[in-house]
Amino acid sequence: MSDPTFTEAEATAFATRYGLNLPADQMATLAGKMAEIAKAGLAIPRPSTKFVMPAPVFRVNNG
Amino acid sequence: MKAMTGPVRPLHGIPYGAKDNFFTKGLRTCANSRALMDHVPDYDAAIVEKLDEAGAILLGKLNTWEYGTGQGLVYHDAAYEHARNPWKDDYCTGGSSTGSGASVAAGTAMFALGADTGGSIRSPAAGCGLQGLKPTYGLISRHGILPNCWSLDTPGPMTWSIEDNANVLQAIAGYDARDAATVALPVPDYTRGLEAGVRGLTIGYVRAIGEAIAVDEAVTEGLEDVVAELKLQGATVVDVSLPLPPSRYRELTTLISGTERATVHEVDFVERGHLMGRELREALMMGAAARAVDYVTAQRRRRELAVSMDALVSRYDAILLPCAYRTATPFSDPALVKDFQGRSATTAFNISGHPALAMRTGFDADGLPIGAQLVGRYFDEAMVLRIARAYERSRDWHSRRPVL
Repeated sequence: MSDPTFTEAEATAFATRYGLNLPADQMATLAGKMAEIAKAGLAIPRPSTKFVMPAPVFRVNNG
Repeated sequence: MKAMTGPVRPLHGIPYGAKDNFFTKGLRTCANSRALMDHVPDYDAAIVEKLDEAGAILLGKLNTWEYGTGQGLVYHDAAYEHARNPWKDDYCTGGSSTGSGASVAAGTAMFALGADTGGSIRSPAAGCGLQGLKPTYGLISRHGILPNCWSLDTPGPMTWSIEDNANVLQAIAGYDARDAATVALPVPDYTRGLEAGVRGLTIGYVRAIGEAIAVDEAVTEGLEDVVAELKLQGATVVDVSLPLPPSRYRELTTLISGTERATVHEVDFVERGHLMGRELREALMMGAAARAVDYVTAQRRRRELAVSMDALVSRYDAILLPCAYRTATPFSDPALVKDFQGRSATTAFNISGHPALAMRTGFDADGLPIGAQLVGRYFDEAMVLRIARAYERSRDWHSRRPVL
């Protein structure tokens, strides 16, 4: 699989959609960061079974 | 300063400093960010409450990388300049608990509080020659600490001696209903077995970390010195291997820390992102762009890695391995500052949740501190401190202090 890439236009659309108030000159940086984290996400080995649950983030209090 | 009345308490009159992401009532907590310059909490962090009850005296707040996070990038654009390493003042401390590392080494605080998401206690402890403990995830309340990553953040003590570390841990450990991650277990006496020695214990030694990048010779010599001393004192030391190289654990934190950080600080980023420094701003950009599928996958992968790590750690009284792979580096070369932070085996134990101590093992030829990392079973900080104390008392490294 080739590395994901994003254009500045896609970064701008993303920022607009999510209300990120970034100046225009940072859209290239945002596009690069979008690609970087997409690549990191794709690189994580997928668990071999569906029964591996996510590590717990919180616990239910007994009280 | 608060008046001290009544009976003498465990940390009566002991002065300390707190990383400036610990909330302090009526005292600005800006986490080295222009975005938080007007942030004055109206309550104390749970740890600060506990230390107050124990009689400790908060002297002041300590420098940190912005928002208590980062990878060691040097842009000189946060609210305050980087803390300097007391051993060489043009060198980095390691981060993100930078001021905590510097202050204890310099002797301006008897102990300091740090918080560790991927190594933020242990890296500055290694860089500044301290004993820095990242306890088991869930041992200590994070209530009132500016969150960085809920599923990894772990506060802990940074001290000059192991005894100090045990005493501070005693004061701050324990369940807190305000932090859902804390575990309702009895807090053991961390000082009682401190001098029990290591005879009869079995310690796993990670002689080869399995990375292409090397551990510096001085750091390796320090590790070998620990092994030799523990054997001399009657411990059995056996070679072991980590389930995966440390860098494989670090990869997960890009997703886990990145996504949670962007969630924690979303409003700040939208409203005051222009006030943030470049490293934080770009980290928040990246986290905001993570896919939900990848974040959840990272948390599932984390569970697998934690289980396999625990299968190793639970077989021994403790595991010895490198902490930072090199000594602190000069600010004049920003790539080396990032390298100091990145070349370490700290993050694996945030992923697994095991207690991990950065322990001082001496100094290199240039007089910079070197260190090792000692990892224990879940909630067995007492054993980690006991083993580290056995080594500490056999050497006189603690008697050497930086010339200021």
